[in-house]
Amino acid sequence: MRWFKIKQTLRNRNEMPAGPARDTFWTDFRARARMTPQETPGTPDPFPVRWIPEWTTAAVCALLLLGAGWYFAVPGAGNDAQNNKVHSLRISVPYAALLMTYDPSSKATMVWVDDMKVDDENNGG
Amino acid sequence: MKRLVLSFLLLAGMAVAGDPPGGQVSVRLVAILPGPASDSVGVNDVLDALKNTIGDKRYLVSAEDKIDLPADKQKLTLEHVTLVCTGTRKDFQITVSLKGKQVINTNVELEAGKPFILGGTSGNKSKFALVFVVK
Repeated sequence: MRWFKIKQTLRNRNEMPAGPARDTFWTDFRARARMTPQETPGTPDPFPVRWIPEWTTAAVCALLLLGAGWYFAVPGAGNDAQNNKVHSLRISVPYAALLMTYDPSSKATMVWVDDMKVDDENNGG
Repeated sequence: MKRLVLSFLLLAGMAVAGDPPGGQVSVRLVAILPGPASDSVGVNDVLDALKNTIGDKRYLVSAEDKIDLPADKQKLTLEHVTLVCTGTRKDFQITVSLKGKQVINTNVELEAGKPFILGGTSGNKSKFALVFVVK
């Protein structure tokens, strides 16, 4: 049978199955509802849920994640208070003076070794 | 609330995991010449630091290169200075050799965008400065 014919036939039948009567339906509904524990209407939500709306929690989470992403993805982000650190320094040749400086304007850390005796004759061998 | 706690746990996990190991270190060899600092080229970001320590000289970038992090004994030769670099920016080891002789060995923690300058004068009064910046 073609689809158009099926549609036409269904439309022409116009028969609806008779449902249960209103009272019967609700009696049956309540009986079924009693079989499983139901949430008591009017019970207040626990503390955090009551005071913090869902959208606020979601916004705070989104901000935290965005901030974390920015902090970890962008090199140097959030490190304004940190400076370069020299953990160890070994100079293998004789030298006259050692300077370690920090320049606040350029935020540069500098290690300057003055008068290193690199040439063999200067090292005495 | 559960989501908030999960976010904090995620942040804590990221903090414990530490810094991502990637990045790049730019290295410039700066020649120090007689002349005014105002004629310097390529060292604008560190000119104050150089001037305050070395003096009012003319600073020119004579060679430069880049090191991908983490570095694994990466060797750079910038004119008469040879460098071997190893590690991440948090634990960056630099070995400087002049005339084939190891002179300086240092271990530094580099902060992104903040220059680290390593330099000095050798016996014949030739001066060099190496500028490291994590990008």
